[in-house]
Amino acid sequence: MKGRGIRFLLVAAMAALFILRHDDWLASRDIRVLGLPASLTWHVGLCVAATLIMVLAVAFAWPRGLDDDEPQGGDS
Amino acid sequence: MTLAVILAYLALVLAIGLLSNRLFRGTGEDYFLATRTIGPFLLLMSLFGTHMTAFSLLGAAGEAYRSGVGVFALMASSSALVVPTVIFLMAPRVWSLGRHHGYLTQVQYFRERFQSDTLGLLLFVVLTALLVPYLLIGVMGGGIAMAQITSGQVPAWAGSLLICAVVLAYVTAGGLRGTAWANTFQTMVFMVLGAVTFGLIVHRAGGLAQALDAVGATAPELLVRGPEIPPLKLLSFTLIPLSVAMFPHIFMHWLTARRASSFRLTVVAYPLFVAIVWVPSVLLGVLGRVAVPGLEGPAANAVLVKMINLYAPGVMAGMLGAGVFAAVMSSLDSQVLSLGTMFTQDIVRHFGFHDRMSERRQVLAGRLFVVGILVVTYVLSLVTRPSIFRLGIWSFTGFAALFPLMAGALFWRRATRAGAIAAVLTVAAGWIYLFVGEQQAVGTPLIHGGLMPVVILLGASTLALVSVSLVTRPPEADLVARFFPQAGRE
Repeated sequence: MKGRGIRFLLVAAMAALFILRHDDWLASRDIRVLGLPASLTWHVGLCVAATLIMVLAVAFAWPRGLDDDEPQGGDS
Repeated sequence: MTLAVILAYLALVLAIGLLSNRLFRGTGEDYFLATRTIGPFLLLMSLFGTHMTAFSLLGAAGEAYRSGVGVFALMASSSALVVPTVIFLMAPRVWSLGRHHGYLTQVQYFRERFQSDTLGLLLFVVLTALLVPYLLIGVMGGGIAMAQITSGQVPAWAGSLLICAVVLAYVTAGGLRGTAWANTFQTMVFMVLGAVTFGLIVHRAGGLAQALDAVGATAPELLVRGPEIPPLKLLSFTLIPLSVAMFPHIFMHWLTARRASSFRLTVVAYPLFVAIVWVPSVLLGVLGRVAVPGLEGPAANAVLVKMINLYAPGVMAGMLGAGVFAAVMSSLDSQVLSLGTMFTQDIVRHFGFHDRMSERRQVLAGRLFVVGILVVTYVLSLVTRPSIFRLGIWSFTGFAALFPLMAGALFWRRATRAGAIAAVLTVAAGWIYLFVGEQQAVGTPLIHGGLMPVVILLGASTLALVSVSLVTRPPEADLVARFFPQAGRE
């Protein structure tokens, strides 16, 4: 997959996390998931998912040409 | 014994800050930016420690005590998504511009990017004014924690004073390198001791399941997000962490990186670190409703310390208290240093006072300015008792509303001087209007439906920047080429 396609997927994945942050279906449900209140577990899950997306972003979409020993290719 | 442990901790932090002075190279760039030599690990720890404040520990626990686990959704998960994204998009670019143009402060960058002394002066005043409530969070939080942990042996006023003095001492001696070292140490302390505190308290409360059952029996509304956080409020809070792009102390840390790629570790680790710090704070606040009931209003800020005292008195309380101070001081130090740096560079030097003042006198002026700001903050901490959470939100709202300025400066070549000034004036006027309005309308929400002032202010400043830029003359081509190097190659 080309760089542009990967960047589109990363942006889409982050946008999805912002939407999923609105856990209205859990707003009044007093249940436990993994020992924690469900809403809390959900949001911790979002933190973990954000970490995974950032791993990919750093690997595939890091801006190039900012360090002196890198090729001056502009921002990728 | 508790007090002895805390004093020993403060002495240790002071020693680390002073020790870093041995590496001092005798230049302004070294004092203010550690000669841009901070590697990935120190950068992560110092940036994270600077960003996490008493707000994250005491404020989060206090707000969870009042309104439950939804606080994590409001502040923590939004920070976990927004902050690394902002760092990813902006920090390496800011670092690169800072290194090529030799910037030491945020004001310098905006002043040169928009070729305007007026904008620089305006920003200096606005950023300093917005930092005062942020400083107040730390000074107040430190005093409250000290008084509670020592069971009143050290009153809150003395605790606040002690923390101000320690921070001032090691910042003055060690500059940015001392601050980065002390922050790294303190970030490790508050993360490790936060986890230990949580484990210990939950264990002594009979386990997490049992403790949550007890909360469910007496205050079940704390275990769900509930109607107190409507969708519009949750959406509004997504915008608050944009403030990270405009904090002067965070900007200063961005400039200290050794390389652009040094930010990679911070970007990746940030969301996990947020969860590691906020989950224990929020849960302990919720559990506090059963263990220490009856805390009303700002008194809830002390719930975390009261829990520590209840379940882990003595030496352990001293160590855990040190964790709270670590969070408080790791932010206070960078904020104090950034204020001193801005005053020295953007007022004393830029406006020509350096012709009439020796180097030593300039540094002295910067330190006196910092002491003056700390004195104002300290007096405010004695005469006001606002909620740490609310105070933090107002400060962050102002900084977040300035976000379009940074985005425009970095990514929009058409942004103009007049547009930038219009955006800053809009934020200043709007912030004062909404803040005063809220104080006068006690108990009555100023904006209905959960919408927060940050939405209004961010929208207004974006509109001001874009519309005024579009009706004023575009920046000169050579200015654009200086700040958008890739433009010259197109």
